[in-house]
Amino acid sequence: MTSPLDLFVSWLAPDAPPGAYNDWQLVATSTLPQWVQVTLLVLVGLALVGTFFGLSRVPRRTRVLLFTLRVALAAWLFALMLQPAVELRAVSRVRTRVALMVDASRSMGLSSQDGTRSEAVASHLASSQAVLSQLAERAVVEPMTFGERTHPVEALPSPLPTADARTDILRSLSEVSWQSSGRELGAVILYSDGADTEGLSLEEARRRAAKLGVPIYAVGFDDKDGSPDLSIQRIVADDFAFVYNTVTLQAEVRSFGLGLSEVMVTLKRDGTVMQSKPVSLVDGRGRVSFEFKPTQIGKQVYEVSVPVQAGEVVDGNNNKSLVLKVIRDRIRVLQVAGRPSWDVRYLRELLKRNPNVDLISFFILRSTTDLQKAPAEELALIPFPVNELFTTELPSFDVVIYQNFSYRPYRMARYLRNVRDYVLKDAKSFLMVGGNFAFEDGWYAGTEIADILPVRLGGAMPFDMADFKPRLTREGRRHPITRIGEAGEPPQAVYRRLPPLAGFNSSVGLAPNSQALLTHPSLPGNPPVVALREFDKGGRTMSVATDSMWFWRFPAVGQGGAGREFDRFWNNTLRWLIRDPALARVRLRVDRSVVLMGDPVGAEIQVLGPDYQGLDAADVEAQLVPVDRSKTGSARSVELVTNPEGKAVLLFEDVPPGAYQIKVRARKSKERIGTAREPIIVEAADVELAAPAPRPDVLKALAESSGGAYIDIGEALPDIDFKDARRVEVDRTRRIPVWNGPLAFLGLLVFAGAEWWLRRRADLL
Amino acid sequence: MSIPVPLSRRQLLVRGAGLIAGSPLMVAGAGPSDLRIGHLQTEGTWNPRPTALRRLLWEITQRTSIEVDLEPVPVRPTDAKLFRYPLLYWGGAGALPKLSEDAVRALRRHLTYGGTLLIDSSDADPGGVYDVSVRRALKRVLPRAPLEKVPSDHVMYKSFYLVDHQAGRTLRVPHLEGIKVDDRYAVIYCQNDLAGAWARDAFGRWEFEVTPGGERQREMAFRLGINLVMYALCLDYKDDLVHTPFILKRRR
Repeated sequence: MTSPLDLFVSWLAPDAPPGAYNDWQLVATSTLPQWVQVTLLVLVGLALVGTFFGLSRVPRRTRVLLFTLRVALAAWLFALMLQPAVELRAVSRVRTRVALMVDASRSMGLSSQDGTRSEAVASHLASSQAVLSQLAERAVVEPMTFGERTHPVEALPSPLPTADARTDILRSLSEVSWQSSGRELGAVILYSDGADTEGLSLEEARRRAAKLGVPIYAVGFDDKDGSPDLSIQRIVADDFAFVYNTVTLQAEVRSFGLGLSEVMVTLKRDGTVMQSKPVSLVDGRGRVSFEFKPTQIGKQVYEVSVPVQAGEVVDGNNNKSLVLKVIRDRIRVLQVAGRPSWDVRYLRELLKRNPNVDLISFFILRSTTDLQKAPAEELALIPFPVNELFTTELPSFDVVIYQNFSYRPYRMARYLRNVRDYVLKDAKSFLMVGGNFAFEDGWYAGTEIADILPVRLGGAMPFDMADFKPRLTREGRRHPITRIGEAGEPPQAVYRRLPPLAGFNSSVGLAPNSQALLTHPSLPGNPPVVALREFDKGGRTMSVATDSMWFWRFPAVGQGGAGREFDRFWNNTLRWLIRDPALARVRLRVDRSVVLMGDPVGAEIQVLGPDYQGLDAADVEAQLVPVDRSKTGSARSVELVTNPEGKAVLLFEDVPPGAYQIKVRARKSKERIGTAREPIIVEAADVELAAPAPRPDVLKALAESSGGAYIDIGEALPDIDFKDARRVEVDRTRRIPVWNGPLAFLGLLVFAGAEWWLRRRADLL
Repeated sequence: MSIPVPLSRRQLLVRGAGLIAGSPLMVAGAGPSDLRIGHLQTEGTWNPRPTALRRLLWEITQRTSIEVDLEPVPVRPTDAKLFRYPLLYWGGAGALPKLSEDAVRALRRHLTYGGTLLIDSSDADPGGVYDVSVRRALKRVLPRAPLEKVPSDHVMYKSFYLVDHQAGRTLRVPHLEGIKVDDRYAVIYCQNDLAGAWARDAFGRWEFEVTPGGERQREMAFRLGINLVMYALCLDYKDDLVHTPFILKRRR
């Protein structure tokens, strides 16, 4: 039966074969510029206005008829000017696409009731072939795998991959909605366990699913579907903490499929157990808080762990670590002086002036050999709190200064071990300043303090009262402590112009791993005046073998100076003792403090010369040392050489999970330049396996909010309902002009003739 | 802090040598950081109590752990060695001739960069010629900083002894005065003739009567003198928090 459209087409284009066109539309074919068309339209409008006012005296009925005819004539003329044509079109409708998304993340490789989750998906797809084939007749089915993002494929591979390191369902859905092959998205079939790794909430899932505008048919797993697991979900703590201030570290524990009601959670620092707490689990979830006070500056590795349970599908998520950067609020300095003196006073004054220093001073103001001419209540003296200072309070100090101080009168022998451990184990700093109560005269030879001093005691010459100008050593010329001159002043020159020092504590020589910066110029062997020592764990000690450093402060002013050299010397000393990073010549910067298993452990090392410029061709020995050697094997070493910028890149591949210290040691020729260290964590579990339990609630939220349906993996795939596409494709067109035919002329004639007749009849001509 | 300090071998030898030399005053060594008081030598009567400082230093070495050189060193403001003596004592009586410009500059530099000047009026005559000339001199040395009354709760009254009233040969003025430089008193001015209470002749007799308080007042003069020296050496040490509860308890 011939349709009206076919009749219309055959009338306009008699030569066209039947069925050649199935659509038509009216189009304008005028080539006049748009501004000309607009101008003509305006002019026609003005003419009509003039006509309207020109008919004001005509009877109303005639006026309306005349004006209507004039408007029709003007419209007809304007339409002809646009050169209208009928466009005959042959069009076809584009088929809707349906995205078939299959989760290919690592969690899909975990066991379910029927093999792995991905095997269950493959089985479900196989059993749904009839539905999918039927679907393919109405729509184009676009298969793809997804994880962090989508991966379109020609056909789903067999076996299904399970390699993606993350699952980002929303991002993947968003990509699907934007991917266009000229077809409209009609529906999404989503195979997933719902274990999103990006913290997808149910509210967000509902909101985004509704916005997608197409139904999502989500096929998922029951949350009781095997996969028993106990995990530390996350650790919450600030990025940094202040030393000796309470830090709160919270951990979230999740148990799944194990039926646990309580579990013991353990906190470790650098592999050492700090605290353990039982945590009650409600609906498989629990939260625990640990409070502690870090006692050391720097980056430290904290690990929270729960014991591995029998039958767990993943045991790598039973612990989680973080690197906590512990910083100092202020530099805590303990200054213990054997008696008041000018050297003590000017050092105290300098330290007190420094806003970054929290100074605790103890000066011995009176000994019992002194006369006691007043009762205690008339004296402002307090007991020397030896026990408190050198036991409980000692670790809270960053630097301890013994200034012309002897331990013996205060029965302190048993505390000297604490001071040694404070340096060796706690990696803190100790400074001994001279005077006749210091070094040998303080009876320190043979004590634990002698073990850590940079100078050797025992048999040294007596305290020498003569004046001397200290001599700068080769190391001293380069060291930041002894760079105290004015800008551009040669290092040696400043020591020549400063007043001579007086009073010297001699020593037998340097201790191992020590260096002298200033030496006595004339005594036999040139014993050190200023010497330094560093220990493996980072502790530092320094000796200043005179109590006349104040000569650089006050007598130097008498020579026309301002005492700035004294200030610089002690400020530099303090910065070195607290290991100010700005003074380090070996710097280590790790790419990331927490690395996922499988990723390389990388760091950049920079070695600086004495002038603090990059040092070329320095030898660097780098080690990756496990914090807990029993768990993660032995240390690895690598030798590097710095480039002209003093830099070298460090890379360790295939590092087993665990906490490590990267230690680097730099040398140039035979000079030991320095060391640096940084902690690093290689996480045993990737984020994909951190919370591997199925999340049917997420999939249900997506399905229900989008108008789709949630299907358990054990159920059959229903018919997929979607709207047919509105989009069409135009195969060919043909334009038939309608403005240059007799019909167009006839129209003009009718409107103009009718107006002429009417005007004549109304005696308006 | 009051704990016995045993002598080292070396100290024992030094002190032994001092005893052999026949003068117990020689036992103290003069190390580079030991206390030496510079006795400011100016025109006019600059040393009306010649034995006083030595006696004060002797008391300091007997009562405190401070190591001293018992002989105060006369030093002129323009001497190159002025800056070897962070603590200067300036006694006097009668009219004080005008200081030279060089002396003024040197003293200003000394006090500004961390020195301390203890001024003691032997006249003990507020408004008298010495007082007037000292104030005139100080206006030239530190023109921007006025003399002010030292508060009674200042740390110099608790730097060693707990001192709650003035002392000296007389009690003409019930407070000390001082000039502050950078939150510390760089100048301390006493008008009660402290040195008059300290002075003792070679036969061990006190040179001046102390009125109205007698020997207790003399003892207090020594205590105040020791506190002022301790203040020069320790500054605000006794204002540290660790001392506060002890001191408050004893002052109740």
